[in-house]
Amino acid sequence: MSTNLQNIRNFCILGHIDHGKSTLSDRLLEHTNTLAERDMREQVLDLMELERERGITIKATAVKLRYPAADGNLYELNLIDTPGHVDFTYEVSRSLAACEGAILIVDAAQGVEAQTLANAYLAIDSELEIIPVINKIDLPTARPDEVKRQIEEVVGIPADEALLVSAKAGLGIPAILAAIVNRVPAPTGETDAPLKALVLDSVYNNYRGVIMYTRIFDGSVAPGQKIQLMQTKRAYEVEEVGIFTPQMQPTSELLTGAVGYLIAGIREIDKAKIGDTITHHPQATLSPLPGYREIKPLVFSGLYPADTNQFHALREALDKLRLNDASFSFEPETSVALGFGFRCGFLGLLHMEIIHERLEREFGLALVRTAPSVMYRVYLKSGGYVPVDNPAYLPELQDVDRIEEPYVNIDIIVPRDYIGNAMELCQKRRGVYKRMNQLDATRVQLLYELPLSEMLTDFYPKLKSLTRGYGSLEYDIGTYKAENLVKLDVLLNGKPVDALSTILPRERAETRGKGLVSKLKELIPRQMFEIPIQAAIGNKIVARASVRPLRKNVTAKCYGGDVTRKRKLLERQKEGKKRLKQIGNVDVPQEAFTAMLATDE
Amino acid sequence: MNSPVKTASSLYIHIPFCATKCYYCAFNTYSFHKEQAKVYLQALRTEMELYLLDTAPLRTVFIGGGTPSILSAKALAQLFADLHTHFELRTDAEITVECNPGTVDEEKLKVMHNAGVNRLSFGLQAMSDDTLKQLGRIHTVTEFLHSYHLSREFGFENINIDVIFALPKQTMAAWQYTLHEVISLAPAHISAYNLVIEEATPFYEWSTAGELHLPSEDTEADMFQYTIETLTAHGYTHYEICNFARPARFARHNLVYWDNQACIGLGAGACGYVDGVRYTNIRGIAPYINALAQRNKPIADTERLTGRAEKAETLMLALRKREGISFEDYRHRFGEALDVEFAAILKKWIDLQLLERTTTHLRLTHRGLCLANEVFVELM
Ligand SMILES: Nc1nc2c(ncn2[C@@H]2O[C@H](COP(=O)(O)OP(=O)(O)OP(=O)(O)O)[C@@H](O)[C@H]2O)c(=O)[nH]1
Ligand SMILES: C[S@@+](CC[C@H](N)C(=O)[O-])C[C@H]1O[C@@H](n2cnc3c(N)ncnc32)[C@H](O)[C@@H]1O
Ligand code: SF4
Ligand SMILES: [Mg+2]
Repeated sequence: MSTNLQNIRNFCILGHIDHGKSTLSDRLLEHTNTLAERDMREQVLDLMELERERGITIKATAVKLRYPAADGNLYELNLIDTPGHVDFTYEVSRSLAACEGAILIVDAAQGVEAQTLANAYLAIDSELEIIPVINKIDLPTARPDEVKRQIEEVVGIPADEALLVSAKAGLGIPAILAAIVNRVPAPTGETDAPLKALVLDSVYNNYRGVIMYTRIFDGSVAPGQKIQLMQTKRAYEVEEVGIFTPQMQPTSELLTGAVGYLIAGIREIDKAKIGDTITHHPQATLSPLPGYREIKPLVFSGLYPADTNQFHALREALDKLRLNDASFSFEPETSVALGFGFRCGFLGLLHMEIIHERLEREFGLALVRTAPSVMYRVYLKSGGYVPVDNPAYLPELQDVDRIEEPYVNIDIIVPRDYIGNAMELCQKRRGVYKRMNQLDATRVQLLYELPLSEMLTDFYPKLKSLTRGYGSLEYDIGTYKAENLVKLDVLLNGKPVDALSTILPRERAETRGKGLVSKLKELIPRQMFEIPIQAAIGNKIVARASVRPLRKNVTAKCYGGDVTRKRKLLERQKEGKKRLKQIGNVDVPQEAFTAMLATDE
Repeated sequence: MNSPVKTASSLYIHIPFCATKCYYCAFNTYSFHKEQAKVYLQALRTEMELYLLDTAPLRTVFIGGGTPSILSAKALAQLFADLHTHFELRTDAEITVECNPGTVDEEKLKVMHNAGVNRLSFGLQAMSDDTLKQLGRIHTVTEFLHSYHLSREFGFENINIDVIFALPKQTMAAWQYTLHEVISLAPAHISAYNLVIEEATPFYEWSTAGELHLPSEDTEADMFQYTIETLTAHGYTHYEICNFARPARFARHNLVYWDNQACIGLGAGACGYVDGVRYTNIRGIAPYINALAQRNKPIADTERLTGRAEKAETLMLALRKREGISFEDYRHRFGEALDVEFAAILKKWIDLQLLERTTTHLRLTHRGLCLANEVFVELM
């Protein structure tokens, strides 16, 4: 490994979702022969099964490339591929701290979109050298010149040297590698100073304990040395260090400027915080690295084990998963219907879904998730307010003076032709118009204030479909505003089910109640007896329906004595039933708890 | 139901060939090739040799498929010769052969008759040429009637007819028509199955794609009710969920399964239950033949049934019978009362009126018949 900082470049790839970051990473890996041909596959850095299934990046992934440049030197390039979806912006901001430069990728056909802007600003704030790259020039609809102009006018960075590439076809790749070496500054740092390294990310491994992903800013670290984490002050002995290929590959040491991983037998999960500084023990560096700002969740929902005995398993899983994703929060809560579980906070709906799925897959749990809610401020007549992130806990309305809900500042970029559609949608969702900016000849930026709760239903998919996929959206937390809100309750078989309550504007409550009841009627499977479903506001029933009793569930005989097969079928039915949550004597499927997301008004 | 017999006195032989595969069928069956069938029958003979010691004189033999009747008269003759050489059959043994309409002729019927076959089972499925076509069946209604009458003329009196209801787009009226036409033929036995969408069949693909247009759950339940009422009114005893018979014409071989008694299974993919062990044979024809070329039993999977699993399966199988499970037989077999293992489940389902007690038996109620799986799932 080279000790010469001049031969190291640390950079990440940023951009809007689907603009080709992971595909470009593939080409860079190929061009530097980082992976054997047989290990290569599309979006190879999307390691997680979930990422591959959904075709999106969820976790930032680092990999080390070795690049022999035209100047005759062998460079060590540490690449970090980042996600483009707004819910995973935290991954981006953490990656930036490990880099001196960024490739800002822009789809040649789509042009600058909301996340292009948001991510570019993050990189500018972190003072990174930005290399604009216009991707997908192979597309017949590519308009590279126009996109160049957008980059200059909208993002505000020079684009005359923007590189034109096709990650898919492998065009323009050498120029990118050359630009990284020539334009991204080498890391600075004191090779002889005491160790100073940033915990970028970490993951829990059942055999090895906590594995920390790190960037070394000063000094170096090697197995056998004693280290400590500055926030927690605990000392550990380093067992292994290494680099990402993108699999973990042990090395003899990590030197200044490197990006790699470190294992030190850490078993206490809460002791290895992302953003903490690693240093030697006992001679520590004096000043810790700035770390990361705490991030505030916006969307809350309850996660409950389908099998009530799994509560502790769920807690352990949440602890471990949080190591790998510091952007969600959780605290215990109880529900009459669902028992003991956790109220969890997320950065958005996709984030919520992903965390739910990861808990189920990586920890083998079966979970019930309640509908997402925002954090309301409920001002009491007696003075003061209580924060309420679970509709079930809304105080009695007679004690309530007013309820405020959080707004977000949204920033929509659409082609001119769709302005009308986008504005109509915002209006319908209680949006407050702020401003419109003409970005260039074809595109406008719309700024609205919108109740965050409106984004929890299908706002984004609606925007997409109303703008033929061209509209993009970015949002920022805004202020709280008072609204005329009520609680809508659902009764199954005559009993209220707290986990199905929602808070919503009064004028919409009845329509939503009707929609919800008919949706639930579809979702709840027929059972041994009739199940009445009702929606109520206070004592007033606003909608009702019922699920008729099951009439038939029987299979033809076991032919040829194949009893084993018959039993397996029944066992599968039984597994299916386990996925249902028993509330009173009614079996309710997971989807019922999020049914209000699917009701359209 | 008797206590479990160590040595089996029942035999199932699987013939895994069909002319073409029906769109709903998931049975272990492959397209018919004369030469392959010949080698298959040789392998079957070897397998018979390997089971010589495991049997008592046979009370029931069932040759099923696939389509056993697709074999040539000569091949059938060979199969029966092998059967009689290797096994001792009681004089009152029930010997059934599954036949497809359109594949039987006088010669084959003669061979079967001479070999002591005394029961035939025809898969008709539906009494409409259009429907048969949509099911991927190879025969027409006329061909079925021809095969059926021919068999009757040959002296086969104990004949079963298989029909399926809740078929795609099937109306109640269409099902009633099939059922009444079948009744007018006065067969000794009728099996009326509800269509099951099996994985890895064209029907499964079409149904997941939403292209199958199956009748609603209510229509299906109504069809089932109608079947029970109508067949009972016409003198058929409803003795198992899907099975109806004239007096003394119960399928004795199938009762062996429902009583969870020992049975040897021979042939590719066949299942058997011997000495408390369930086994399943290798499914593929070539690997099955290869295993027997080495004189190995061609078994792919075995499972010893003991304890709770054996009790649950015994209960589940016996509850399929209309009479249910006899308290006495259960006690005799397991040395304890039914309530010892299943008290909570029995209570729950008796309260929900899916199960009921008679003085001697526990059985499904009328409502329970349609919802049997709800009960069975809980026994798992
Ligand atoms: N035509 C064309 N398609 C491309 C090109 N680069 C990427 N794509 C396609 O664009 C889609 C998205 O590519 P990804 O590399 O997964 O995009 P990403 O930016 O990593 O997306 P996220 O990680 O989810 O933000 C895939 O279907 C790629 O095949 C290109 O140069 N030309
Ligand atoms: C072992 S099969 C073979 C009978 C014979 N090969 C024939 O089809 O004529 C026995 C019966 O099972 C029934 N069957 C097969 N597949 C079925 C399914 N998917 N659902 C309901 N019944 C089915 C049919 O009625 C068929 O006649
Ligand atoms: S239903 Fe009968 S004929 Fe049709 S494929 Fe199945 S076994 Fe063969
Ligand atoms: Mg990606």
